[in-house]
Amino acid sequence: MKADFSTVRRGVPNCVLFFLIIPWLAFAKTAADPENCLTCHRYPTMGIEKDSGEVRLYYVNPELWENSVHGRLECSNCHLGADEIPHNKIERVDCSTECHLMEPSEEREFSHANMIEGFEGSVHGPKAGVEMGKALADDLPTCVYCHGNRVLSPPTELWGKPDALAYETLTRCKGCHTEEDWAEQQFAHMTHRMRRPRLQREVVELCAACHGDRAKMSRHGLETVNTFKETFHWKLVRYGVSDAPDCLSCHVPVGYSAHTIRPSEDPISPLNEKNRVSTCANPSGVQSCHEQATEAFATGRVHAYGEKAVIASAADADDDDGGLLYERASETYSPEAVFQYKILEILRLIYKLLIGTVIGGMTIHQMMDFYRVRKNHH
Amino acid sequence: MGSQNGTPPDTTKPPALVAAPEALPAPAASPNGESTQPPKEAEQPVEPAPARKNGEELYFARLPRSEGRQHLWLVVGFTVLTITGFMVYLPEEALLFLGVGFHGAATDLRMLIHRMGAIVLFCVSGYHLYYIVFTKDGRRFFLDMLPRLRDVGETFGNLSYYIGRSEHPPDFDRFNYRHKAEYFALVAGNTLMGISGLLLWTEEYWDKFILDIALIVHSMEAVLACLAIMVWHLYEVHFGPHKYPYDTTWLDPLVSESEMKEMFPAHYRRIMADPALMKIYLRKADGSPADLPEGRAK
Repeated sequence: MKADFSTVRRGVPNCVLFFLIIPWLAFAKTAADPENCLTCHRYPTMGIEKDSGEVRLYYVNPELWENSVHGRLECSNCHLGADEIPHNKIERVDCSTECHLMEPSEEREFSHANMIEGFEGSVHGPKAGVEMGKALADDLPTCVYCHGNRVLSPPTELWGKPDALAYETLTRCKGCHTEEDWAEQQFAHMTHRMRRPRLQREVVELCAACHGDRAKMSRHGLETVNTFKETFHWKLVRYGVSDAPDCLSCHVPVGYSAHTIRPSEDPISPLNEKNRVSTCANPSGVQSCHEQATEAFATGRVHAYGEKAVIASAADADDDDGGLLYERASETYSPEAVFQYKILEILRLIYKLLIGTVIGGMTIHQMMDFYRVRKNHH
Repeated sequence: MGSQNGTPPDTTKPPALVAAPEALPAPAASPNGESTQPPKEAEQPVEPAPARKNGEELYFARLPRSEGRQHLWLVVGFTVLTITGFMVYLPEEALLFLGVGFHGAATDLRMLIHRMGAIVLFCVSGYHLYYIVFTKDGRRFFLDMLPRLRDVGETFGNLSYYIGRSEHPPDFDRFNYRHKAEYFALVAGNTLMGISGLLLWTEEYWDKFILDIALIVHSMEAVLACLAIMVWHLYEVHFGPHKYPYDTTWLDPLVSESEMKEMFPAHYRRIMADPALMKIYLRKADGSPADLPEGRAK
């Protein structure tokens, strides 16, 4: 059950770097690169080595870039200050920057500002970061932590329906929108929301890149996500079942946004006791899950009992020196939950003893039988 | 011929009062006269059953056909449940490596087959309940299976035989303490697995805490049951020196006379002393009812 997320942990900064860098670049001879950034940045060895020995690559693959979500933007739309060479005054990319692309419904310049606004008040957002202090705030994810500059998907299946549906739809689009590249890109843009951008396992691994890191989670008074890996939900995910529940299925069900995840005590959280039945049933989702879910079923603990349950049930639960994990243990586990945890542990212990004595006794008995019969034959 | 109505055998009859085997007709093909000795020597090679006057060997139908069939379905259900059940506890990577996890086969199909196995076991258990209440064979099975005080003595007797403190194992009746322990463990295990399994099957209607308990009981009891079957039952009927390579009683219930005398001497004497029981148990080699031994069918 013990998964190794080290690849993901190493991979994430690299991906972040890669996708941060992509928008710097353009290819002189393509329409997508009016600023001629790719003149330099198309070379795979383009990069710098810092004094610390850290190497940063500024290479952009022109083809990948052109087919990416941001492929129709100019580099300097996001990389403010990049129009000056050498790039001495370049600013860090801010996703709330207006990118001079017209947002057709309101005829204003497009930006991701409203998503960022929601994100700011979430458990992962900068406001939470201010409360927890600078040292801990560094652990919080930023936009690029989850979002890459994704390459647009080809027109394949939608919501599990066959590819033909997508091709037929796209053909109809092209009836009026005769600029084919544009039509395909818009189609990909819209249908991106009609399929799973990530497999369930990839979602779990993305979340677990932080939430599986015990040291990091302990700093924030959280248990690791290994408690999820002792559930049937994870089994389904691991075996690649098409409608398997990943982190988002419960923590961000239909009607919620991953940007505005709130603590479960907050009434707007899908995990709040008020909303639990609907979260388990997921009636408006593509896949309805526990349709018959009752309140008793839905308000129970889904993840396995974790580290904090052990702490909360121990005699020195209010150990002040134990860090945030100790402080928060009794908040996470009510006295009732601790009682239930103890009962389950005692039951498990009884069974272990029972299995040990019964099977041990049987083994001894059968060995005695065996040796007695053997002795008789000799 | 005795009572034809097959009244339940008087299991409380003290076996010691039953005539010893020497009262039986002298076996023609038993020159060393071993059948007159109490057949207790475990090292005694399984001799050919003593031929009767009419030249036929005598066999004992240890299990009625129905019990063999119940066992067959129990084996089917138990095996299916074991395989599909423990798949949950195999490391996911191992199953994926074997290709079983492909597109949910390891979950959806596993769950479906597991529940089909459960239905088989529910049916066998239900039929068995009917069997021990409403049929003569079943009632006799259950009465023979009920624990008695002598089982305690026999347990210690057998253990002292194992450690060499006594020469012979005790005179076991139809079912000895090993059989009884296993049977009632099976009854208890089936009940627990059935209840906890049904709770998990209908999970949406129960408190999560109840389901947590059911899950622990279901998984730990499964470990206990499977290990018990492997250590206790499979040794008894497969790997143990008595029966190696396997015991066919559940498929072919006929047991030879010499084996009866060796393994279940008290039951043997009880049958031979009671014409009603003889009619029930005695068989020819082809399984047809045997003529009762001369001088016993009064």
